[in-house]
Amino acid sequence: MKQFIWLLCLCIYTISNVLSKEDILSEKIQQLTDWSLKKPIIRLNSERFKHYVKTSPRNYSMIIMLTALSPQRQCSICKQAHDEFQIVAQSYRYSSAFTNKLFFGMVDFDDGSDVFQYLKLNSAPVFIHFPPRMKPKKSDFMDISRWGFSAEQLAKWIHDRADVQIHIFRPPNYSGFLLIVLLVTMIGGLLYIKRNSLEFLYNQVVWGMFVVLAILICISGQIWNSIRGSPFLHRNPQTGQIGLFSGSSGYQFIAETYVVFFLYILFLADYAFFFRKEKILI
Amino acid sequence: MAAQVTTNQSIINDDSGSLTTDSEFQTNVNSKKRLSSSSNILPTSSILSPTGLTSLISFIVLTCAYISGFMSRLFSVIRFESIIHEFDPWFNYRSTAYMTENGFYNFLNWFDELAWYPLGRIVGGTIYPGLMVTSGVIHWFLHMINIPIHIREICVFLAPFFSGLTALATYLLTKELWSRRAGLFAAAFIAIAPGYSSRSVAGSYDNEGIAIFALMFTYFLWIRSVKTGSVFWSCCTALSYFYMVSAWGGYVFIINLIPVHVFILLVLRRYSLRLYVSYSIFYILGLILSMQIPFVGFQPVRTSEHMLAAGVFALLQAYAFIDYLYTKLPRADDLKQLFFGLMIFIGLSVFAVVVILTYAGYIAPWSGRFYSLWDTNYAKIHIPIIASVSEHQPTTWTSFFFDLHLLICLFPVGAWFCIKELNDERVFIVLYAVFASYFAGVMIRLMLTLTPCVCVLAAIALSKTLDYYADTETSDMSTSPVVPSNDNDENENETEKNNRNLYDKAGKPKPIPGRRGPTNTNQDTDDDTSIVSSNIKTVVVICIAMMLMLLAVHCTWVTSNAYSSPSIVLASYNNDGSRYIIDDFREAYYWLRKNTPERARVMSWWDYGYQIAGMGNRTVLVDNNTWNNSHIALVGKAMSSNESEAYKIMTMLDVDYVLVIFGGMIGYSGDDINKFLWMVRIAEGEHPKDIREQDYFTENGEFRVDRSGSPILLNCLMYKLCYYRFGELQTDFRSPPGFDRTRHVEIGNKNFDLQHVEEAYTTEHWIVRIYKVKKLANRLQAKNALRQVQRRKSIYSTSKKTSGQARKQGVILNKPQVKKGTKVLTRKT
Repeated sequence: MKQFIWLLCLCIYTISNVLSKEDILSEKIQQLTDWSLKKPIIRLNSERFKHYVKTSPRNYSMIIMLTALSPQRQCSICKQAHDEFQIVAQSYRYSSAFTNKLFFGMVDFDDGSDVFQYLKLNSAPVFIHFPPRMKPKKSDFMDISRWGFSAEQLAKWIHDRADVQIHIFRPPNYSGFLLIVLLVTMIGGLLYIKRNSLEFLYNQVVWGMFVVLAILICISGQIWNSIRGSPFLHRNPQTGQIGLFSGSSGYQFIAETYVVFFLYILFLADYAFFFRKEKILI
Repeated sequence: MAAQVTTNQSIINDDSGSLTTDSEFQTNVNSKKRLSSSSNILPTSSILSPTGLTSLISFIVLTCAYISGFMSRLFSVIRFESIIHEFDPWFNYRSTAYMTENGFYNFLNWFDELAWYPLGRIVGGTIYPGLMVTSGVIHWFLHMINIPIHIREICVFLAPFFSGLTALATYLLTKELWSRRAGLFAAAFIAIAPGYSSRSVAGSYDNEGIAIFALMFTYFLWIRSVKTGSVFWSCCTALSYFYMVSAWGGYVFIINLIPVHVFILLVLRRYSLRLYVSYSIFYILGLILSMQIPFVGFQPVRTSEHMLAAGVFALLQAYAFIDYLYTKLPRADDLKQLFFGLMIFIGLSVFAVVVILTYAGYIAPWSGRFYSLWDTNYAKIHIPIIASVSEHQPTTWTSFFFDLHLLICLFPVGAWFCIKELNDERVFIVLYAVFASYFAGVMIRLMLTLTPCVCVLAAIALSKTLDYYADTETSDMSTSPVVPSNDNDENENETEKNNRNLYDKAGKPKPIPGRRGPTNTNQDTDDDTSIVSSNIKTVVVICIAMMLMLLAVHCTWVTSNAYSSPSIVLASYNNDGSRYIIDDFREAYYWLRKNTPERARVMSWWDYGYQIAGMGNRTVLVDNNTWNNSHIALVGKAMSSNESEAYKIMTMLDVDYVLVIFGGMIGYSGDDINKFLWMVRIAEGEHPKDIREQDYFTENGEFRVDRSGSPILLNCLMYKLCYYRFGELQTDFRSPPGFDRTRHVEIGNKNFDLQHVEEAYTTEHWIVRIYKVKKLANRLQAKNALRQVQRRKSIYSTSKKTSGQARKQGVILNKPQVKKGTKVLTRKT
């Protein structure tokens, strides 16, 4: 009989314990959901990080960005990374995939430097995925140097790790549109003001320069630069020598394309001026 | 040839009546000018008269250009043998051979079951038949006049033959654009320019070989028809366009460039009835003719690539109507602004209609291949199979220079001259230059379309230079075929400035007699300078001649060394300079042909599909016609999964043999391990759950096959097939066994056995390795193989005992059996 009571006590204790744990978990989820409904990225300091991410009753994943946004830290790419992260979180927040299984959080170095110590990090920004019930493994740290941190890559990585498909919806970039509108109105205005003397539109030299410049840009390999994005110069780390031209045939630096570009222009200008002079002589 | 052309020129009548062409004038003027400047003899009918002499010189130069163009492409035939090169030509050759054997109609209906197992491929409807028909016609003709020649020889020598014709077409085009002298230069340039010969050496039996000829000829005819406005020439343009459509997918370039030309001419207010006639006829006839090609079908009316032509056609009709009203209405000048507004409104509404139809789904949007030309990152993200091809990469300035040498420097100069002295047809070449140089910058393969344009413009620049410098009265510079005259180009420019209503320039007579060459003017003013300048001119001409010689040397060198390798036969040179032929590919394909069952299915990466089908005559799963991405991804998945996983895919696809290319033994860099990441990428695109590119890299993100390589890579099928038993082989005394000479590492996974495949054949230098896929093995034995087998009791056995499984007559199966309960233990409480 005594044993039975013991067992009962044990049962009650465990149940209450479990219940309280359930309680804590649901309370945490509730809190996190509230926060992320308000703002897509939850800002965490060290206590909150400990409570919501580190301590154990947790059945949700967290994507945490560790960063240093304050201006005195002078982390320029943190700002860009934050913007991209914001886009991902925003797209997730308003997508149909939004559940309480995945939350986006962010720890600033000035708010929680001990988080950095705890994770043994000394660089920012870092993206970490905290899987449910587990500590992050090595693969849960996103390798920025390889993937980059554009929103699409982040979404791909999240899909890879947390199995949540996020369709990136970038807020339409109105600045380009505005620029075009401004340009069109300016050109239109200019034409309207000078409508009595539209002769300059028929100036062959101006148009010819445009055309020839376009050709020169193409044949001096600028398109390759814009697609591949090579470094401007090569500086030898040991000797400090500057290499203007790349040795391999399938590669080029930006500087050398400029050199070639100006050589072509010189060649062309020689020709153009010579034959203009000749006309004057006649 | 040249003489014929001149007669043609004078025959032409103008359809629009009142307008006369200025070309006749110009040629007359030129010849007269030449007379007066070189010698003061009046033209006689003898062959030595200057007119006859220039014709003769043109004829000789063109013949030389043709011959040198043909000859400079024969390096590969002389070095190796008369053999079809590379990958795509093998398919073209196979289908040409099929056509000559079975006739044209059977060819159009040909269903090729050797490709894309188990899907097959409808060949007639998925190729441009122009190439095959061309060589078939030549074959038929030669056999008709009793010259028995094998179809392979025709296929091998077709591209050099047509590149000679391209030189002639370029001559004609340049003559229309500038002058005959420039035309001769252009013909000489295009005959040897490496940018073109890269695609047209003997043996590279591909669409481009004949398509560039068709392109240049179509452009020549188009310029001719714009100049004359005659129905005859525009019909010829449409016919030539039809030939181009039947030959190459690049016809889209023509059907977009010509409308752009028309549109720009409208914008420049150079509209004329000649333009109206030539474009309307060309568009309608060209549209109908191009739809006769089965592969093109209804595309010209249903896809965005062709909508520019349709839109410009509509616009031109509206413009013509308004122009007509303008001439008929009284006091039309007051309504000028109304007409102008109406025109813009029509233009915008045509544009809007096309956009709306595209959104409504009646017109297909831009296909990926064309779209990737504008949005250069598109292919990289969405179509890895396009991005994986090395010829779809952007172009560095070095490759421009490598392929065109001196010409690329002269190219912008020629464009500048054309702009300075603009007329209807020069607008065209300038537009061609802009678009082609952009496309060539985006995709290295499209250097091919740029090259003719570069040759034309460089020839113009050079011709103008020599017009000035070779015009020396004192020294007799007859080394170059250029006869001095620097005449009416300048005049044209001045008249243009005076009068902008330009479409009828030739109507105004030019002040010919008052003009002399620039040197004469110099002479009049100062005698000393003219002597010096004539010396300088001689020096300059010599310099230019030397530069041109350098160009010829460079072109020949590039063609011989860079572009004449057949790539199925490799050559290496020993230290003493002797040549060593590596013929592994043909060895392997011949082995396949002779030693495997006729219906055997061979799995390999898609690069080798055409060759296996062409040389080995065996069924392949994927080939270079990459129309089915998911099928390719399946092969890629099989190659990049581990052996047992790959075996499932291979049995699913009925694979009998697997073929891999391995270069680690002799250091051949184009092998499958180097291409492997693309297989992984393409497989990942279709099966992201199973294959991840990440897994094939080391921790540091490197792709390595040595000990530090990722274990998934070291155990995937491709790795195992390439390196099977390679660990036992010591290639060199200085290196350890299993040393990969391509990647310069010792391989990481050496001693392994293959479970589901067995080695069938490995060529002499291990370049091609063929494996046979084993049949499904017997089911695995249970652990205790010697267990007692309990034999089922026969139903006729007399034994009374019944087991559960035994079926006996009158026994109910699965009958519930009541088991006796065991005694419940009493619980102590």
